[in-house]
Amino acid sequence: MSDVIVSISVILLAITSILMIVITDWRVRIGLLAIQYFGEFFLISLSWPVAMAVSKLVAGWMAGAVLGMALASNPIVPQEEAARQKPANPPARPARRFPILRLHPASIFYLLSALLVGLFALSVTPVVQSWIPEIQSEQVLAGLLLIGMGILQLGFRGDPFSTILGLLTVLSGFEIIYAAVELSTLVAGLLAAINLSLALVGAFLILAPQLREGE
Amino acid sequence: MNAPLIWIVFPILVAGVIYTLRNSTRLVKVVGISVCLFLALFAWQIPIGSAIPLGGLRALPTLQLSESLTVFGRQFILTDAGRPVLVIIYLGTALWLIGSTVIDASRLFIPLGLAIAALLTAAISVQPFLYAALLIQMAVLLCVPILSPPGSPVPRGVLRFLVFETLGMILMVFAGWLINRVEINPNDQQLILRTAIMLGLGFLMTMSIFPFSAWIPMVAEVAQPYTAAFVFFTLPEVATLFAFNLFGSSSWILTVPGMINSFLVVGLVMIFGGGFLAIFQDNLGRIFGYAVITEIGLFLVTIGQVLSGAQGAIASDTNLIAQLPLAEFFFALLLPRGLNLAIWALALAIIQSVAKDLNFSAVRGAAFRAPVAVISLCLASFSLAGFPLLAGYPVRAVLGIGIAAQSAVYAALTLVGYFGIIVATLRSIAILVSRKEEETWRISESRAQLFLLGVGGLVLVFTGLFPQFFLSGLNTLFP
Repeated sequence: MSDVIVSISVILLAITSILMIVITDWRVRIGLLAIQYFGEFFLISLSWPVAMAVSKLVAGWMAGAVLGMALASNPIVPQEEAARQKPANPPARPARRFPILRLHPASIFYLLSALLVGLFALSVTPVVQSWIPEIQSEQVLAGLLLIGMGILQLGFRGDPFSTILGLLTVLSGFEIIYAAVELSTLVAGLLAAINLSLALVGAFLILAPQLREGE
Repeated sequence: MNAPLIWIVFPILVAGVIYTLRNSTRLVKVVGISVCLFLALFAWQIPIGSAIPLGGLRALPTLQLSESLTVFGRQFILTDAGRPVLVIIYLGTALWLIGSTVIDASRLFIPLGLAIAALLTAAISVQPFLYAALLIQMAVLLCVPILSPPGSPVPRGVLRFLVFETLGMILMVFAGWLINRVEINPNDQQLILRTAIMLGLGFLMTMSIFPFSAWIPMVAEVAQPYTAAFVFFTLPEVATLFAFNLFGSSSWILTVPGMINSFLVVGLVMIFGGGFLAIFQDNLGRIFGYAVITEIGLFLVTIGQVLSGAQGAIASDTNLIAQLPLAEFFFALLLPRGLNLAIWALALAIIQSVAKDLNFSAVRGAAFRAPVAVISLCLASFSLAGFPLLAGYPVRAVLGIGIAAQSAVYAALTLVGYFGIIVATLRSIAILVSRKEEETWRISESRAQLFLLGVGGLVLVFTGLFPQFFLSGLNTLFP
């Protein structure tokens, strides 16, 4: 595969994982997750046959669809998001053209933290690559970036949706690195099953407070 | 016929079927509990790998359970030597499920409990066994609906549990690959150290070892106590079996400096910290959570003692555990632990249904409304604290002698931890029996609850008074 596509995949993963931390709209975050799995697919296909790598893409998109359906049918918007979208006494401001991209002070802090994680991943990549000779440096960088951004997301947000997104991001990063060293079909299947099950658990946790016993 | 098909695939299928029938609660209870009891009985009576004659006539064909099942090139192996573990897993699960029928447990508990038992059986039978981390993760994901049932807000502790267990799984799976590298380059000390760190961190998270045990009291405070206790009991048990498997097959790990001692030290920190922090809690659920932390610490101390005995790190005459059959000792530790946790959690669930909450302000005077539950809670907590003449005492005495032989400071820390549990229990008793105005004694527990609490309490006392019967029972299970 051409180096350009690999580099684009790494950049795509970096952008999507950072935006997933900054943006609060769940629809956009689900879309970013879908794009993230696309980048993951390209990087895994460097180590695995394309037919096997596609399983990651399909499992990831299915996970995103499960989460999206749960949120679409949820009558209550996640509390944190609602609080951020509708402040108690909103100041009068002119309407913005792209409200999603509005930068809160918190978002600037998230961006700076993401930058630190990115720099850390960049500096650690050669060391990790020396531990795993089978792997390419782009795979290591993308894997470490996703693991770092996922952990950052887990630390910054405490609602079930963000927790599951964070875990799926960490798992994606791990899968990119692990794909270079393990070709077992059973492991691929189990990891895909874990991705899907995580999404199902996330859907359950999003809807559980509104469900009645037995539903 | 195939053993993994019977003890892994069959219960998963049954769990799936009864999940779809979960609104027929009586049917789900009968089927789920019967299947567990049947699988335990089958594991006890039917040998694996040898021919079993059907009927008395030679003309009839024989039945043979093969040991292994191959899935995508990896094997699930259940040998005849592993039958006692199968008995313990399915009998233990059946007893937990029976207990859930007398309280207000979630309808999901029985199908998910059965599936978790099957997945944990798969985890201890998969080869190479480091794939077990993936199967344990599947079981963890099934635990989430048990800890956060429908209709109630999601406890923050459940999210933490999910995060720690998932990160632990990732580290364990990666450590599995590193272990293979170490076996190729056994003299690479850097690689050995990296593997040990990765494995150690993964093990800390998977087994909820300090500092990754914070979720336990958080969950115990708000979750249904009985179903949460099932998770607290089952996951560390399987993680410990996983650890024993690991150290059995990769003995080089024990050569990492400080590895054995770290089990002992972290275990002691958990016993001391869990017991000490329990004193300051104002919620019966949180006290239970801290008691669970001391139990995990006890598991670690046991692992440390067994490993140091196996390595000859301490003189064999001072390590009593090293002189005992390992499997027998492990189950001698496990059975009273299961009994203690089950009775404590059942009593808490009854008190919660009476008082609507487990905060001290809510449970004040609950002993007047649920006296048998309160007595059972006291018995179970004293037993867990190693009070003499109760079920927890014999094994803790053996462990305590082993710890004291190594260091008097370690022994003192253990005693302080258990003393903390006793103080927390005494505080709870003081609150539970403090009379509100015009409070009169009445038994509000149902007959089924009284029966289970009564039988459980009697077993706790009988096992403590006559441990020889309990241990000889184990001897027949592990001939």
